[in-house]
Amino acid sequence: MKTEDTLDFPAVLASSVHDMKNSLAMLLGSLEEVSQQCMPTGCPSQKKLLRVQHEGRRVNRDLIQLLALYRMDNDQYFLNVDEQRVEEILEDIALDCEELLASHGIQLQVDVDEGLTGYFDRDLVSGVINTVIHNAYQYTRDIIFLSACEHNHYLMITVKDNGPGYPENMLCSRETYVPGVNFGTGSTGLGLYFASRVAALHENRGRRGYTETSNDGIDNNDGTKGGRFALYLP
Amino acid sequence: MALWSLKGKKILTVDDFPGMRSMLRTMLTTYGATDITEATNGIDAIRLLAMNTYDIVLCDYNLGEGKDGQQILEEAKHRELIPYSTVYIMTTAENTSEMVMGAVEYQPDDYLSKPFTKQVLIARLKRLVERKSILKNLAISAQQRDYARACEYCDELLEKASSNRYEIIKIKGELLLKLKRYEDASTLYTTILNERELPWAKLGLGQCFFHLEKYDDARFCLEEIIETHPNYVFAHDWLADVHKVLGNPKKSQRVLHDAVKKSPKAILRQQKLAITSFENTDYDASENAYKRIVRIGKYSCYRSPKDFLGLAKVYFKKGKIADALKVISNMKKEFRTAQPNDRMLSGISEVFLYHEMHRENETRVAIANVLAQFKADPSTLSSEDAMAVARICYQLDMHREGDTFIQHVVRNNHDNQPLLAEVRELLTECGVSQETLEMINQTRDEVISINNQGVELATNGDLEESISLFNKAASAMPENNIINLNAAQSLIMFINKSKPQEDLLDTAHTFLSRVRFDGAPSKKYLKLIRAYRRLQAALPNDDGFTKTSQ
Repeated sequence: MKTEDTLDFPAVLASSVHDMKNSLAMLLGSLEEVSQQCMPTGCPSQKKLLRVQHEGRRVNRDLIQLLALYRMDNDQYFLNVDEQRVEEILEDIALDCEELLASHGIQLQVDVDEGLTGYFDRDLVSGVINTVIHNAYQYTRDIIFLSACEHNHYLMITVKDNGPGYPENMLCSRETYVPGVNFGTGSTGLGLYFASRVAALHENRGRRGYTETSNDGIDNNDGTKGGRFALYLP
Repeated sequence: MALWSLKGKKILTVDDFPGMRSMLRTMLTTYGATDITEATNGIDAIRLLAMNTYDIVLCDYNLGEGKDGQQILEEAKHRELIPYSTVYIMTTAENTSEMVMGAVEYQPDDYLSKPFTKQVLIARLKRLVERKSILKNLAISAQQRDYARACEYCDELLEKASSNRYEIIKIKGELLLKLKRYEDASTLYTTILNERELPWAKLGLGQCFFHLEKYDDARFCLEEIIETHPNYVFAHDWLADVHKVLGNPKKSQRVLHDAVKKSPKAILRQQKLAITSFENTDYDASENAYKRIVRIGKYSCYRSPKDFLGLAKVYFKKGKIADALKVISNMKKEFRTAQPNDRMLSGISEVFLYHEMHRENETRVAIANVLAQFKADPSTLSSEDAMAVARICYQLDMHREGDTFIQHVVRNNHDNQPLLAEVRELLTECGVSQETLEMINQTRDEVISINNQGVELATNGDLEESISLFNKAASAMPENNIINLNAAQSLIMFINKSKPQEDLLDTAHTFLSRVRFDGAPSKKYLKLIRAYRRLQAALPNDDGFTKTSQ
């Protein structure tokens, strides 16, 4: 048992993250206002501003992920699984990043059946897809394709791009174990690790969610294909 | 996308942070909103919600000192300050699932986690407004306790809609439980569970088992939920009830204790734990629970003087007389300026405690105080409390006071035979005179005669006279089902003959909302509430929404 005078780290973490997120909300809000103001004037900083906004949101996502992972490891995460309209969730995600992607000449295509529903924790899954898209944004040439459909009684949400694809050490399939977080390389893989944890938290009638990364995304017309990430939810 | 706008929508934003308020204003204004009101704390928010009807409420969860967003929502729904048509969104910087945990009775239409962009905000608002319009008829019927009609709406929606099938099935299950159609509900939940392991469906099935008195099945089912979804606290509530019925009050207490640890802010559950522990003579546990309620529940609409009474009783049981008295004096201080109902409860709690402590003089003073409050506004005294206070009056030879309270009970329940039998039993136990026993019948006859008079006036077409008679009767006997129903009926007959008038319809609705049932509502109630809905629909612009082109 914990005694009263030890630092209650989860509480400290939770309240600091809460604080940081409030600040970030303000920061991002103000940035958006500034960006709106300078849009009509064709200000040269416009693109940079979007980039700053993007980084801000990334910090925000990382914070949420960290806190969620901490809680999952301590059995404190309360999974809020509910019926979700997939179309709405993907629309929200698209709205969030459309502007940024457009400013870099990246086209975001979304394909989802109207009325498709899934059963999952909205916050967690949105967080995963958001992260994957923002990752794709850094590597793709000019297209990101976001889609969802039913696949073998799983809900499959896929993000494809036409970039160079995932490096060897980040490829994983249902059977292979997801690579751990590697702080030695430039890219930590935290996002993918988070995605696989989130997928595994979702369970239904003995079936468990999983993730897949592969390099059969959008055809690059040079014999290679871009990266493809898929999240399967039971 | 840009075609849909917030123009003409009445919007309330609640946030303690000025920067956030102005940011929201900017976002909303971009989409055509012009009518935006801002509140900075719970008290302001409740005040504004009581005065106006908003189309959209955006309320932050964490508001610093005072009520939090959940407590505002609870109080607003509890006091019926927000109609179904209002879109209520809780904005938050923290993980939403924690709030779902704390939330017991009511949930907002959506959570929006900060930071969010204006595009996402507007997309959510648009969807919610649309969804509300799809479920509108269903929600209104359910709110007006026309559960059978609401079930029909569910079936209609299930036939066409596919995207929110589970949501509608969930509502239908709740309606079937309200209608006490446990076999039907159990079939519905079983079908769903064959498709998917959903905690709410399993909880529903557990409830069916409970009501069908299959307690072992119920226990098994609920324990399974707790095993797989340890944080689904609602399962604990029902499991506690099951243990109680099976004669294991200690287990019941333990289950509640576990649940409370997971959702410390849920006052209703804390109250259940406090009472259960007290019944188990575990006064330490009960004391702890009551103390938490008094502390955490400071801003909750569920905290009542009865919690102070509970704590005082615990102290008394533990022999801490001074502490018990201190709690009562704190209670008096805190509820001095509260709503009349809470002030009445505070007075009654005093009576109960002093009586329990055998302080006769203080009890007499407290009774006199209750009587004065009762005379000022009889509607503040429930039949249950009136009976309990009457019993104490007779024990102290305060017959005149006791008779007054008993008369109140009879007036409000003149057709409720089981309750009248209880009253007779109470009077016999207290050894009152034959005269007092006669009083029951006399009072009953009086009510019947008033009622018949009103009915006769209405049948003879003298509706205005009938309305005024029932109005008077209903204010003297606010809990009387028959009087309330007839008061509503004479109003509806009148409106039918003239033209729909909003104020008269509102009054009719107030009468109808006072009618109580055990399970399915009576035929007469359903006939009247349907007539009310028809007339309400005939009013111009009935839902408060200003229609905008889509």
